[in-house]
Amino acid sequence: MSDLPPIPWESPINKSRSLKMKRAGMVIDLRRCIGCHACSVACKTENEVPLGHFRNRVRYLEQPDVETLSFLPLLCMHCQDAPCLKACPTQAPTRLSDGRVVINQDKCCGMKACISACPYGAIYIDDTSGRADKCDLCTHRTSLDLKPACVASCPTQTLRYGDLGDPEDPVAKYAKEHNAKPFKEDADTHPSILYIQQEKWMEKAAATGVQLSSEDNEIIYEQNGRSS
Amino acid sequence: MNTINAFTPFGWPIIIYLTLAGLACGASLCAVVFLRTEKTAREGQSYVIARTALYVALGSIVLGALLLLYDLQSPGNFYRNFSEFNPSSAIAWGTRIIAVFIMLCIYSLFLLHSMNSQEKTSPIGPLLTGLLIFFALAVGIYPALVLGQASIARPLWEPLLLAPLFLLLGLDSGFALVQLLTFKKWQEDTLEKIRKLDLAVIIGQIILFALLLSISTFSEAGMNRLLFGEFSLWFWIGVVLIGWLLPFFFSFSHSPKKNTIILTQLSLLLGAFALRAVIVFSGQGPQAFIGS
Repeated sequence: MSDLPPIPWESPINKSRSLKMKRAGMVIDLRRCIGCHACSVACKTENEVPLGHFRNRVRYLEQPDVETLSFLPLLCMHCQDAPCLKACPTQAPTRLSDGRVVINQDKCCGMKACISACPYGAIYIDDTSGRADKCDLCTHRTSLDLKPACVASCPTQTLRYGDLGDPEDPVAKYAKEHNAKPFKEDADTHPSILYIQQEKWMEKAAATGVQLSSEDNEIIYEQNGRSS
Repeated sequence: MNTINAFTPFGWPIIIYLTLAGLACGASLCAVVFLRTEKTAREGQSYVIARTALYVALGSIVLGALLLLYDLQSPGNFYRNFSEFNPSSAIAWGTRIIAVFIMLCIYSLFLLHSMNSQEKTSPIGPLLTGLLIFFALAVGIYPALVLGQASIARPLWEPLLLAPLFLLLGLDSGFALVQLLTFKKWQEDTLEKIRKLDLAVIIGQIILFALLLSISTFSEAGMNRLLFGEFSLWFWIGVVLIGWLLPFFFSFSHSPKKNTIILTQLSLLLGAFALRAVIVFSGQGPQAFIGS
């Protein structure tokens, strides 16, 4: 697998840096997001995410009393103090050496404790396997020194993947320069996904997190109705 | 309500399980009470009640464990609950607590069945009694800690308040079911004591539930849904009317008649079930999420 060449239209991440990575994470610059859903589509395709579930999703948010839409890409926050890790009885959610949280499918018995514990609604049950699943920051790609699918597909460089634990990493520098902060900071789970220019009202507007609810369906439908 | 998604991962099987675990806790403590404090003088009646209580406890917890198994999305991996151990997971501890509790119930029942009918002392010694009490309390409390592990995401499930509330619910429903099954064998003075206890337990439930709603950072939207929305019938009729007001009213009746007692115990059982359903369902859902 490691002999596979990088996909030609991508610039590979510096190999030496990715191998030393201590805190794999992402910075999401909300000033750049145009709500195109390219990241969601790329993620769904890359990871064969089942219908009705998402690993990565762009929420359209309406700020009260302001006639503009804001866009908020959401995914698993790869918390450093992850509630899913604590809740699972079989240790299916696991932290890799670079800090990312992945679900070991072999250990999962579908008890849903991790789903219940996640404050970001990032975990779902794959209906075919009956096991929990979520974003793993495309481990299969990053191990080949490729960027995660969502990052590679973003046309505006809203999503940036890097080592947040390395002060010299350009993504970590970018996060520091622009005062990037976690989403739902009050949850105190120390996420490894940081946001630039996120505002408090967004937490309420996107309370449900990554997964889809019937109410969200209605909102999307209304927006489509208005725009057509 | 049963769709498995990020908002309502726990559905009816879990609520029924929580009720059964409470029943097991209450019934086994009822058995201990009759074995240790009401022994000898009652011509063996206490042993009959204790035996029934232990059967209720065993039946409830086994049925509950089967429900948990049914609720697993990947039951083939069930064995992982025993082969893997995550010490920070309440479920991991709960699995082991249930296993030991089942064995204790079976062993206690074996001792009760094999005792000589002339024996005046309880065949269940202090050590076994202590273990039964410890594991009965653990069975009653640990489900609250399981929900409590999600309290970051679902603020209504505050474990420090849920634990005593679930214990009270378990105690009243366990005693109620045993009383319903062995009604004729209970002495007048014991019934009187239980009546007073029921009253205290109901007041305790009301205080704890009110604290849960007021102290936790449960969202306004979630509160509205509980009091006036999707779960309002469950709450006002199931919990307030059947679970609290009816038994409260009956407990003031001066001459306890058979029908009154049966109605009281049935109300307590239904009320305990309804309150668990309200807590589990209204604690979930998009409106209950942190940030909402």
